[in-house]
Amino acid sequence: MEDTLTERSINVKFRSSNGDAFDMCFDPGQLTVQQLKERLVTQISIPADNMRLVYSGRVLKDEDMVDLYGVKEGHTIHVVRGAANRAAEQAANVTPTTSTQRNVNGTATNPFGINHFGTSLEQDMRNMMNSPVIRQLLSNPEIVRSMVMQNPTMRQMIERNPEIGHIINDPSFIRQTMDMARNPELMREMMRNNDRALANLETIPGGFNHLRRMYHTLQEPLESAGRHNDQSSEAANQRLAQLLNVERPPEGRINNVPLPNPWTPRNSATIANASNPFGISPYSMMGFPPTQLSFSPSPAASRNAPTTQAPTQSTTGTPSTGTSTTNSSTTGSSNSTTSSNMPAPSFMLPTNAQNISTPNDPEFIRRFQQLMQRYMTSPQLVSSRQQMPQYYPASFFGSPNPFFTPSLSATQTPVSTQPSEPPETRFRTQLQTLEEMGFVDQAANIRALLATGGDVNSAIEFLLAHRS
Amino acid sequence: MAKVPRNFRLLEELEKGEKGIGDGTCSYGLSNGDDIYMSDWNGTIIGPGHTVHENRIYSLKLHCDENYPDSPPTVHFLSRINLPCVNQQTGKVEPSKLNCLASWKRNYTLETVLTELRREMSNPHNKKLPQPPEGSFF
Repeated sequence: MEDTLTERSINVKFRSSNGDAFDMCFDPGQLTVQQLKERLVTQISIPADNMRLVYSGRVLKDEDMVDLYGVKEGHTIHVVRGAANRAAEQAANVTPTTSTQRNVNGTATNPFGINHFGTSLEQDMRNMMNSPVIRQLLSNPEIVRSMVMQNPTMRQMIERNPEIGHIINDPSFIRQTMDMARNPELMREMMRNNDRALANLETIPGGFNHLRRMYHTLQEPLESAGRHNDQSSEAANQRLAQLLNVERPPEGRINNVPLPNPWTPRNSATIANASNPFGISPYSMMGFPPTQLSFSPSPAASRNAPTTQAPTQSTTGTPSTGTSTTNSSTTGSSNSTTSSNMPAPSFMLPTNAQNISTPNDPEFIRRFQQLMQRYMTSPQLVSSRQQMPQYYPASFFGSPNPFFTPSLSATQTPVSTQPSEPPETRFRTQLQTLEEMGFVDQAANIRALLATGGDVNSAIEFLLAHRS
Repeated sequence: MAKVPRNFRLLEELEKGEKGIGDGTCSYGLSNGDDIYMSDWNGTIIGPGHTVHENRIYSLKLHCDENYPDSPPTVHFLSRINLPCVNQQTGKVEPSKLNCLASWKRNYTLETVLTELRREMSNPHNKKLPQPPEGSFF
């Protein structure tokens, strides 16, 4: 430090928000706030760009001299971590990402700093997404779209299902998917919302029937579009139903069969995909699964690539036992496609076997329920819940961005209508109807409506049955 | 108990603010060090974690009139903030909507007001309210 301690130097306490405190001696007439921050960096683990100094109810400005604020001997300045300066953020964007140091294999470092192997896939994904080249690339929905269309599997899927094409054509959907892939916080938040709403859904008797109907109207076409060779989805579906002991409930009666528990232990590798309603990871959506991304056909990349298949193959390809009868023909074939495409220098890698779920995979059921839940939390649809089968396909695909808009807005205002509303408000209209019909006991009415998932007719039956 | 006169009371608070006694989440001091009446104060609130306010610092202006501490100070937000108790046109904290101002007691301090405002930010009803961009002012 070139500035010597003059007679005007004072001793000032610094306190950080995590409770650390230390003293520092400096001359407030000689230092700007910026310089002071640079000296503090040695004491505290906050970069100078993120550091905010607060004294006497004022935030110290970088360009001001410290004595402007009248700091005196023995006084305390609070050190707070704030958001990074805009300028600093831009600078960070220009500097290349530095994840190459974690290149576990010691293979040639590739220009994008992307790790082909490694357990911290999420970290890699984030690094990749934050790299300036990718950012720029993905900020253009048109490019993303053409990337998706390059993938033959995706193209076929879109041709078969115009609804999916509609989604792909929506630039805001693409942007949101990218945001989600970039921001693990957002992803986690969405997953958390899903779980909570799902827990609520499960408590409604007959909820599983809704799930089943949803499967028929939506998830099944999507899934079978992904597995274009497999025609046996109906049979597989039946198997799933048998597996879960679900019988078709008698029409017009209340389903009081307890719901099966789909939360059997699951593969942690697929967590990153969990909030994706397509049952396809966002990466493979775009045409490049994370482990197989190769922008430049560098020798190291193509040499590594086939081996990355090995673990996947061994997990999904194992002869199944007990409950999980994996559709090995599908996974096998998709694996071979991926490996053969591997050295190609563009984004042509279609289906990561892991991401294509068979209907009797617990992971698949879970995703499917999340899909369902996304629909359920969409505020404008809550009111039409009991007419779900009719409303469902139209409204689902009718809104410009059906999958992501509801839950994204929910991350900002998570007062999601369905889970938090008390039954009195949720069933207001139904309660009124029942009251007009002469069922005056409101508590009983609510109980009946809860038991029947808001269906007035079934609720009346329920009330009559339980009256005696 | 003896009634502490206004100026002694404010000097006490000034010292506490400058020395940073407290939990460190709120800071306050005179906006003009030469003001012998100690009427105008600056305050900052460090946004509570796990809310939309995280990593934000809110600046406020507090005014203690001659009746302080018998009557509450008037409080204005300088940084824009979306809270039910803050007037969105002026930034004024509506005394009727903030409990400690509405039922003011003599032993309340400026710090009481700031901590209560901070608690208001982390209130489950408010902590996810959409907020104006950081760095905008009333």
